[in-house]
Amino acid sequence: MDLANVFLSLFVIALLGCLMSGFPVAFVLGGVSLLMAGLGAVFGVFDTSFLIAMPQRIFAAMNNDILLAVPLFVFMGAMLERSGIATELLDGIGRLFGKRRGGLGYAVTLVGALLAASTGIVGATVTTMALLSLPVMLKWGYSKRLASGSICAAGTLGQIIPPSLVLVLLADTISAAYQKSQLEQGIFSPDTVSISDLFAGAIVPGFILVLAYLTYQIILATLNPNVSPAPPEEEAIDDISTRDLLMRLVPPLALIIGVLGSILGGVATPTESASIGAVGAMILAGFGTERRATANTGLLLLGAAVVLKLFIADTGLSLAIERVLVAIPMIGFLALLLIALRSLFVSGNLDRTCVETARLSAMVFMILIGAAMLSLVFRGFGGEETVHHLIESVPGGPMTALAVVMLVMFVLGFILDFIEVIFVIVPTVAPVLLLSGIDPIWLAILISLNLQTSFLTPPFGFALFYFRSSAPPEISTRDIYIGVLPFIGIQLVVLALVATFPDISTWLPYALR
Amino acid sequence: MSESLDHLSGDTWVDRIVAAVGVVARWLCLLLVLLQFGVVVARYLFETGSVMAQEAILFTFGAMFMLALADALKNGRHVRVDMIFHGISHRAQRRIDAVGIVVFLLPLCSFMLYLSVPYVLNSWAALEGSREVGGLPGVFLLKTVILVALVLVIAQSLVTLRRCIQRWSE
Repeated sequence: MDLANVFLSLFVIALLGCLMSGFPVAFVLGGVSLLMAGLGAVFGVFDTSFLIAMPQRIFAAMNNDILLAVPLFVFMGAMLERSGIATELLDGIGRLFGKRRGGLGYAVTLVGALLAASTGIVGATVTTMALLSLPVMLKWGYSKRLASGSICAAGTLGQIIPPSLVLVLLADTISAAYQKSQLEQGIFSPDTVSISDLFAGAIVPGFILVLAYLTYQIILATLNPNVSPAPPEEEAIDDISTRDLLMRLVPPLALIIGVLGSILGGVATPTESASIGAVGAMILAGFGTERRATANTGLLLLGAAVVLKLFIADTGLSLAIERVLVAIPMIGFLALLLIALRSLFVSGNLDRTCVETARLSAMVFMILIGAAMLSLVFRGFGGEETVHHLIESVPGGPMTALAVVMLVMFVLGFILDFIEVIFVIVPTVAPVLLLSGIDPIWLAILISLNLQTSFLTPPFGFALFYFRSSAPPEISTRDIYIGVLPFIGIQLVVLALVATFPDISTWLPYALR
Repeated sequence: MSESLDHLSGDTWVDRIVAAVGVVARWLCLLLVLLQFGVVVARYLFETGSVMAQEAILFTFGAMFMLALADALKNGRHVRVDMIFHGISHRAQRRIDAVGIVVFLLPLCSFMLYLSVPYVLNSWAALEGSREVGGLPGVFLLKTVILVALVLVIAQSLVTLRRCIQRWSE
C-alpha cells in the first residue's frame, strides 16, 4: 500500500468520524478534505494545484441551470404547506375515505404520495402527518403499529414520487457521471440524462409502491377490522357536501398534476413548470379556502390564455393580434396574482415561504460546495482510480458491484441525508458503474428507492426519528419499529422488482423521448 | 431541537447584518419565482424571450442561496448528523460547535476566500460580462457575491464561536 492509499483510507475514516460529531455536514465535508490535503501536501503526496479550481466550482454551482429547479420546487411545496393547503388535502382526502374501515390509513398514503411534490425533505411530511392524522387515528382505535408504520412509510414516498428533490439532485450528478463515463469510452457527443427522464422513470415504480402500500392496508382492514376501524358512531364528522369537498381538493391536485404532466409531456422544462407551480401555489394560498372560487378563476384565466394561444395558432392571425388576444386573460390573471401576493404578504405566509426556500437552498448548495472540495481532494489523492479498481475487483461482474454499492449506500443512508449521499457518493461510484453499461436512469431509480428504504429502516432511519419526535409518548419506539417492518418488506419487494426488470423504470422515459 | 442551539444566533452587529442580508435573500427568492414565471409566459404565450432575462434568473438564483448561507448558519439550518448530537447536553453541543468552527469551518471558508479573491479581482479587472451575445454585463458583480457570502459566514461563525467560549463551562 503506497502512501497515497494510506491517506485515502485515513481520509474516509476521518470523514466518517468527524461527521458523527454532529457539526454541520457541509463544513465537515469541506473542512476534513482541506485538512487532509494540507497533511498530504506536507508528506508530498498531494499536489495543491488541484484546489485552485475551487472558486470555479463555487461559481459553477451558482450557474447550475439543472439545480435552478431546486428553489422553485421548494418554493411551491413550502407555499402549499405553510399556507395550510397540505393540511387541507390531508383533511379532505381523510373525509373522502374516512367513513370506511382503514380509510384514514389510505388517506395518509395518498397524501404522502401527493405531498411528495411539495416537501422534498423527509422530515416535513412525516411531521405534518404525525401531528394531524396520528391523533385522529389513535382516537378511532387504529392499531398503534399500523398507524406509525403507515405514516412513516407515506412520509418517505416523497423521495421517489416526482417531483422529488432526490430526483432533481440525482439528475445533476448522474448526468455528469454519465457524460464522464461516455467520454472515457471515447464518445465525444455524449447522451444526457435530464430531470424529466428521472421523473418519468420514477412514475411507474412510485405508482407500484403506492398501490402495494394501499393493497396491504386494504387486506389488513378486511382481515382484521380491529387494526383500522371505521370512525365510532358518535363521532359525527361534520358533514361537508361533496361539491365543497371537490372545490377544496381539485385545484391543488390539478396544479400538482399539471406541473408534473407538463414536465413529462416535454412541454416545458422542469424549471419552467416549477415556476408555474410556484405561482399557482401563490394564487391558491393567497385566496385561502374561503375565497377558493376567486383562486380558481385565476387558475382558469391562466388556462384560458394557454388554450386561446393553442387555438389561435391554427387560425393564421397575425402575431400582433394573437398577442393582444392572449394578453386579455393574462391581465386578469396578473391582477389576481397581485391581490394574492398582497394578502400573502399581509398574512406573513409569503415571508415564511421565502425564508424556508432561501435557507433550504443555502443548506443544499453549501453541501454541494463542501462536496466539491471533497471531490477535488479525493481526486488529488488518486481516489477515483482506487474506487475504479475496487469496483472492478468485485468478483461477479458489474451486477455484483452494483449490489455492493447499493448496500453501502443503504448503510450510509442511516447517517447521511440524501443530499450528502447524492453529492458525495454518487459522483465517485456512478461513472465506473455506468462504464460497465448500466443504464443511468435505472441506476438513478434504484438509488432513490434504496435511499428511501434506508430512511425507513430501524433503528437509524430518518423518517423514524422525525416520527418519534412528533408522536405522543404512548407510542413506544418498539411500536414504531414493528409497525414499519411490513412496509420495509414491500419496499424490498419493489426494489427487487425494479432490479430484476429494469424496464419498469426505463420503459416510460425512453418511450417519452 | 434547533431552539436549544441558542448560541448560533445573538444580538451583535454581525448577527444583525447577517439577518438583514438574509432578508435580501428572501426577496430574491420571490424575484426568482416571478422572473422565471415571466420568462415562461413570454416564451410560450408571446413567443419572445431574451438572453438577458434568462441570465437574470441565474444571477438571482446564485446570489439568493449564497447570500442566505450565513443566515442559514445563524438559524441552525445546515444539516447535522444527529445520531449522537441529538442526545448530548447543550454544553457538549456548544463545545462541538466551537471546535468544529475552529477546525473545519474557519479553515475551509478562509481558504476558499483566499482562493476566491484573485479569481474575483481578475473578473473585476476585465469588468467581465456574459459570454453570450446579448447577455448581462455584470458577471464581475455576481462573482463578488462569493466574497460577500464567505465573509458573512466567517463573521457569523466568529461571533458564534465567541458565544460558545463565553459559555464554555456553563
